[in-house]
Amino acid sequence: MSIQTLDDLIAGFANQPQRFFFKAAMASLVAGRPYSTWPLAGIPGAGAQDTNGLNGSTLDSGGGYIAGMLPFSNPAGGKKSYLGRMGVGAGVSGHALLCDRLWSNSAINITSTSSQAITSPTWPSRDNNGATLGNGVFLGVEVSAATGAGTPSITVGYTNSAGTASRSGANTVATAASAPAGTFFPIGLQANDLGVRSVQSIQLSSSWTSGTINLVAYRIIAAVEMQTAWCPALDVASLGLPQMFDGTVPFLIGVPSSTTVGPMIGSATWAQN
Amino acid sequence: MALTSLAAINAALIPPIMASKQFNSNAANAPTVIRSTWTNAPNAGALDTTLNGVALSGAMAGGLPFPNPASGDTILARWMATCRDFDATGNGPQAFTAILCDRLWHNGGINATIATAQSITSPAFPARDENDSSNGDGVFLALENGAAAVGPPAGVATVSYTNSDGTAGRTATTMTTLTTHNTRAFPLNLQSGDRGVRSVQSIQLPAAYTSATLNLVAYRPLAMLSVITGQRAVLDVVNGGRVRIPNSAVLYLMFMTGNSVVDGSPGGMPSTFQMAQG
Repeated sequence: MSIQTLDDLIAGFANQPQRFFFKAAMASLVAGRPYSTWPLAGIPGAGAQDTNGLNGSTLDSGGGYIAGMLPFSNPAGGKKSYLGRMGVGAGVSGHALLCDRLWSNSAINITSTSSQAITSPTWPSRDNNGATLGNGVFLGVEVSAATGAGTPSITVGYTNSAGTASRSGANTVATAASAPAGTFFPIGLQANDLGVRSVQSIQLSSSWTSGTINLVAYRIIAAVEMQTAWCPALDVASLGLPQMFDGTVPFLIGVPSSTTVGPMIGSATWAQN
Repeated sequence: MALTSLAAINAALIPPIMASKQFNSNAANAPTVIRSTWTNAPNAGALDTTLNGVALSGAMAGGLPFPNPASGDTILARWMATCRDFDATGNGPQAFTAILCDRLWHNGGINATIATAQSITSPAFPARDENDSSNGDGVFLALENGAAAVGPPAGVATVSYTNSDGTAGRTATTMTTLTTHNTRAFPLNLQSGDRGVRSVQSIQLPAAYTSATLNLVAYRPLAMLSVITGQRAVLDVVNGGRVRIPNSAVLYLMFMTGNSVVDGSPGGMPSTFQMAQG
């Protein structure tokens, strides 16, 4: 089944409560530099980081609730899931991304300038087409413990969604010294690439001195505006009914337009039919 | 399940419920500051005075009135709200977000002048979590100022709770600084991995207030509606996501404002709630 009519949508909202979130403020913000709510306290509680080392682990909510995600359960057989509604407010305006967290790793040596080899496992079947190929799957470096001095460039070696190896991407937002936990540095794609199928390496151009960073593979489900004082909600017509595949691990990334810190608050509703 | 089409919902509409609640504004109303309307006019709710608190169900002062259905569900078919002017100080309508919540439990009698753990044995919450059980999925905690507090301490309040899986010894803390402002609500976070609160075992303040009336509340947020400055907003069954209201819910509003107005100036949000039952 899928949602094809308004009545399908209404039926799809049945037994789907608004998923309320209230995530703690970041220690500091920089306009235009994204932040991930995964490591931040709040509702939902802080997410756990991978402990499987450089090769990392895939995430799949089909096995049960994963700390840090907005609650999501696979629908009964044959049904599909969609984002039906979402609104976000925060101490700072900007925009918010609802993302699916497919994979993350750990044990990146933050002081090394050598290439660090990664053999990532096969992604879950949750790219833009519900496949493992990585169409629309991007990478980002997430700070889980504040970094020290240093402003390295980050280069990631990957295989793209077409299966072409030896592709290279770098951070699109400049790194910073003392980046607080939650700071998120998106990794750009090499020209003509549509996504990442697997990861082979990460390399810092200089030492970041201290702290903990994790490489994350994610897919953007929706981007909505984020306002102060009010949470303008987008409905199915404005959102375009983006699909959420079985096993989705929903979490939020904010992109602030100024430096004013404050919590992120809002709600999202899934529709399953 | 009957109310899963527009036609069915339209056929099941009950007369609209008019409601209006004041909410307090003050200079601390930075964006994402949350205020509770439980004790606000009209139809002000009472505060409990016992540490163990009371479970809340059905019609009561403070709760927005709605009848239980004879059978089936209650769906929030339409919620329209606007913001009326503040008082004679001349401050105009402001943008805000209203959060419609079900108030499942609250307590009182918290000694605001001590910083040691105060034991709480909360009664079983009503069977109104996300799954219509008393387990607590989607049930969260907030600490409310029942009156203007004096000398709030720096730091966070800490609550020990049992999560919705039945795991005890979980810890929640207030997510923002404790302040003086009457009706201010301080949401508590969840410990990593938790989806809600089943029961409460203790509260501990970071240090003593000079004086305060504090109330811990277990609530489940049902719907959010944002009102743009000077305009009205509507949440319906499509853009609101077919919000279901559990039987005997004790509905009340919390607000998130972004304006700074002199303390005590009441704003107001006239609302019309239209529900469908069947």
